[in-house]
Amino acid sequence: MPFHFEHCSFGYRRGRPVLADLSLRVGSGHVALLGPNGAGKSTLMSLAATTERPWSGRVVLDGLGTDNRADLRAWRRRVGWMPQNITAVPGLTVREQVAYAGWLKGLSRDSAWTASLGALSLVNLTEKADVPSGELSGGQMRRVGIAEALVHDADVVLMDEPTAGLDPVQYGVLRDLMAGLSDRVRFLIATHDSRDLADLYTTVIVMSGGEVRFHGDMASFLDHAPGGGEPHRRAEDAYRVLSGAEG
Amino acid sequence: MRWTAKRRLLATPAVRVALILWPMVAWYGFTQRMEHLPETPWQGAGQVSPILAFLAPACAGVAAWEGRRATVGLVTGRAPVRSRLRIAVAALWPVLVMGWGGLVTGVTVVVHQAGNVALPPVTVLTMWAVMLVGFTAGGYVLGRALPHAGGLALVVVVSWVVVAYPPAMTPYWLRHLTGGGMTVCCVVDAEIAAEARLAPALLALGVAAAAVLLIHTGRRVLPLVTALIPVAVGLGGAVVLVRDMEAVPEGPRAEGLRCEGTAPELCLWPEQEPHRERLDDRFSEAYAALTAVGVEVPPRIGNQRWDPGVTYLPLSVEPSSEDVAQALPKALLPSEPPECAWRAGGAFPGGDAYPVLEAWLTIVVGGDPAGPEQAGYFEPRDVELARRVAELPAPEQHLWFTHNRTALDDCTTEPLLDVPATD
Repeated sequence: MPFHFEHCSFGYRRGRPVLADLSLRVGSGHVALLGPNGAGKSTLMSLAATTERPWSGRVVLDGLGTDNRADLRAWRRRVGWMPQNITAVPGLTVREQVAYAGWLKGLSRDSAWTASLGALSLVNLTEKADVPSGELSGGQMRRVGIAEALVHDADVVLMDEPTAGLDPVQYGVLRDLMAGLSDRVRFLIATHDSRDLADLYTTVIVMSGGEVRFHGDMASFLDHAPGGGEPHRRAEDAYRVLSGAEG
Repeated sequence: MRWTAKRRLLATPAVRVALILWPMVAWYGFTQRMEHLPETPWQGAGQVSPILAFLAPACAGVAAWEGRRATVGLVTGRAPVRSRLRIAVAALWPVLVMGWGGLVTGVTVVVHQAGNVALPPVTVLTMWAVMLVGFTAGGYVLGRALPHAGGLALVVVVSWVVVAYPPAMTPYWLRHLTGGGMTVCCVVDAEIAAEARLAPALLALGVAAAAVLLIHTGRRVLPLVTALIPVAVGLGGAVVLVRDMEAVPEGPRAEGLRCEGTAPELCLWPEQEPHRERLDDRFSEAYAALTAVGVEVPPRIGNQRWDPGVTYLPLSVEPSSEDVAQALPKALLPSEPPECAWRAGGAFPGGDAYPVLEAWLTIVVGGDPAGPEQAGYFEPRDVELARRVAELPAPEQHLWFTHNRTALDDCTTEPLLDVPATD
């Protein structure tokens, strides 16, 4: 993947940084970004997606910076981005919205239109293709967001809380999707959800209070769990310990 | 049909609005009274210009809806590869097609009603097209900044007011900033002034440039301030261009005047040219009669207000012989009282001689001041006096005319408002 955050500071209000002098190198593989609300996960994801620029420091993706337009375009073309807040684009059907997202990411109109159907089939939403996107439920809208992130064949996909609002069946679709794409797409996913952590991700980052509390491979992460048991239980325990939520 | 066209068309409200707007514009065109349209090549501009009151708010409103869609749909938050400007252009070209299509519809209907003579000049059409670009770009930016139903309504109402109200406002230059004063332009020797064609386009380009700047830079304070510069330049330039203009946005017609003949050298516009032979004969008769009573006749005469070398003769596009009898006396008399008449408390006794002189000249050139064409124009007593003078020997008519003509140029000569005693 590697994203390289070099001494990044950023906030939404002057004088109130969410991230302060944060340095982090996110390697390859599927990466889970864990942390409680307000930990700075979404902010870090926004910097990686280039929708926000750091106040100071820089973010680099495989040697690409964000200072010149050509690099920025190349960066954004490589990265699929599903923000936490997925909204319907007024006046568009589900397929049109996904195709529009593909066009925004640099695909031609024809290619985007063709690719939109493939992306919708990945998230089991083809039957809703001609429905106005504003009529979808929250969970369906998140699947549209996932389709948007995947429509232009990015090799890095950033998703901010993709499982929020998904029912168990939809969650299963997302899990299978990630597993199915693991050979050609690398995911950086910000989540609260510790289900299947051990199965889906190779790397874990735990943030709290704008700082990185843990960054390592899955085995090291699970080692922080105080007891034994199922991987799912150990992941929860490890997260609790590392995020400072325990006790 | 590929997505490129079909989906884009289905996804834009511009298509749905066009389905209402174009018939509305066509209906407006069909309801206009074209029988009074003078046969000059620019009156169509005046006939078509009111449709801007439909087109500009429609363009601004639909563009504002597109701007709102970009904001509500968090388009820039999707980390697009394409620039903000490219995204805006993709959203706005159907809006411009809608507006320009409405323009073409309006012009087509007017031309269908009145013939090719109603086709507005290309420069005016271009100016209107540029104006619609300004409204579209401005609407998009406002729609992005005010992404709610109230904002949308505000954009539509404000853009309608900007187009519909200035044509009735004073000072007059306000009328020419949005191309609204053209409904009253132009008679045969004038055309829509270059300033009136340029000013609205300049202002629209200023707005469009500001919109481009704001679209390109996003919502930041400094670009917002910087964007005022092109608006100020556009507005300032437009005001400088039109500040001295009167209510009618007219200027001298550039080409087409042809002067021929000797007594007089008659200057006619192409629309009047088919009547030259008849007019030549009529003017020859009139000049001979005027010369016989000693009235000095101008060597060059015609429908041209701006050339001091041509004595202005207000002829219509299809002048009749009676028109000559009406127009020529006016051409031989001063168009305004002398300067001394305007001074406070100043007397201008010669003013009373004007209608009698005009009636007498009408008789001399073969017209009838009491005829049906002049009904109510002259007082009967002035006509009666003119008739009695016209019956005098030529030298006495000349003396009477010379004295009263002098009275029109100063404020001290008392006019002779009676038949001079004969020897």
